[in-house]
Amino acid sequence: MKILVISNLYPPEIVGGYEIQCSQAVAELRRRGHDVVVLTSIPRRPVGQSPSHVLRLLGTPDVYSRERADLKSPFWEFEANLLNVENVFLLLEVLRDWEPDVCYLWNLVALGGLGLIAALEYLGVPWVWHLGDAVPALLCNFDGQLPALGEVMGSRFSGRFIACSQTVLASVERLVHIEGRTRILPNWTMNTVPMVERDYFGGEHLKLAFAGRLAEEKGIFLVLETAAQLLASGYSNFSLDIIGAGLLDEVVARISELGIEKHVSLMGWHPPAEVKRHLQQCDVFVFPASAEDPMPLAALEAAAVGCVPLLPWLSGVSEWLVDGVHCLKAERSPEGFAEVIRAVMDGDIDLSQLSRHGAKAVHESFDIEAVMPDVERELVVASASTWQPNIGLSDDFYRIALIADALLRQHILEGQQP
Amino acid sequence: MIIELETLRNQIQVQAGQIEDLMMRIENLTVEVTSLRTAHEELSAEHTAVPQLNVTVVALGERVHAHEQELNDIRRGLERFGGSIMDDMALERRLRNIEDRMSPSGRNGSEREEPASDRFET
Repeated sequence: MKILVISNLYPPEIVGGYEIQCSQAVAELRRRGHDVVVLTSIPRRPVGQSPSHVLRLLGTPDVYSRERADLKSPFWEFEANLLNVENVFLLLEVLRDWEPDVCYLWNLVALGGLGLIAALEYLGVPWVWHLGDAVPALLCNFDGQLPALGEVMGSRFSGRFIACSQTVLASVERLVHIEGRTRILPNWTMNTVPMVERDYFGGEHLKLAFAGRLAEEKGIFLVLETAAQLLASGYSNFSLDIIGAGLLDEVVARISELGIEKHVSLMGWHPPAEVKRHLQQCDVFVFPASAEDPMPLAALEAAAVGCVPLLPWLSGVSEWLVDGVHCLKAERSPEGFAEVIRAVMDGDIDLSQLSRHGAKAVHESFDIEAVMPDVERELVVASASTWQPNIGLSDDFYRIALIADALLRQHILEGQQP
Repeated sequence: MIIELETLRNQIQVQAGQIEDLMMRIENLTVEVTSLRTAHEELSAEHTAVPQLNVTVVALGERVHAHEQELNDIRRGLERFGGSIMDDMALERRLRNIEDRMSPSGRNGSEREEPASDRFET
């Protein structure tokens, strides 16, 4: 199959797991013999020589820059979510020159994603959209949500969806109805083994870890308050390693306020392979992701090396791992998390069994080799709907895009919603 | 194994309905708490000028506090309830995965039956 992948970011340009999963899927599909080209954005910094199958051509406003987010203009949001005519033109050119059998879509935020989808629909190009986040709903935004646009998307778009969790599907469904066309497949990890050789907590010193972006929604401050709760209740034989980058100044300040400096190590950002090696030395992976988090990879990667995840009852990853079998779950609060950790430290919970079951489950259900056949199947089914390049249709659509761009910009200037 | 899966599916459906009921109760309680809080604030502002309202203000404040406690308990219960549904979901998926691995055709490349929640529908 010839597969055109479209993603707003692509390694080494990354923000989180969504782009990493995209590149892993590309590598695995190529390994399985498919011809894959990636169409992604122009990088914000030099990235060295890109492989020949990665085309860094698409323009984006810098949606992930905090400074730009404060200065954004209405045209910036328009181009990011709704329509970027330059990107539409580039896509039409690539489709005409390369003629993929199917388009495999990833994060389309910042690319004028709706315009790209519309182009595929107009030309009849089959597509599968891999949702590591509620991107269809995110795109239906301009100065607020656009429910009417979401309804049109849900009723007119013909493609198929892969969602990494029921959680992310529910987030999309609030604006765009796609449930009947969605396959739920988990995020994956790589290079797993069915059994992990490691030491287990024996009652002396409990090693806790957190790895991920240091951000409110990832629960980093809740983790720190959990540590404070443990100390306050007389439990001090633990350490907490924090791996990642983000709100570092705020985290340092909070550690000082809570008086937990002696128990916390800030380790900074490390490459994924190093993080996994470190987690193999830790006992519990404390990860109070928010209820809307689609499916954080970090918890899977911790379980893969036998570091037992401690998760909130509600989150995208909580619907894939069973409490008391593969992981531990708690109410998403410092009290809730501390209660479970105290039970571990009191010897009421056997981490070794959870660790072994978790590693086995990740190897069997969440290794990329276990998940990718289902992804491949979706792409094959979608590609059964063939299409033919048509210069006339491409030119027609580009004309439509230019007109829409001019009209919508005029609407914006007049203070109206598109 | 199949019977167990069916049982799990039925449990999930029942629990989903119960969650809906709880969420409606939360909405109603939230509205009531908001109006009680407003009344309490208004009366508190009058409190210093009208001492005989003191008892009413205190009683209202206690009612607001009691409702907030109940709301928090319900939210916590709902979260725990949702968590048990998540566990059911994870268990069902894991059981299905184990079934696939144990089936004669194996998992890779086989056309396996998908349950309704994950089935692609045209």
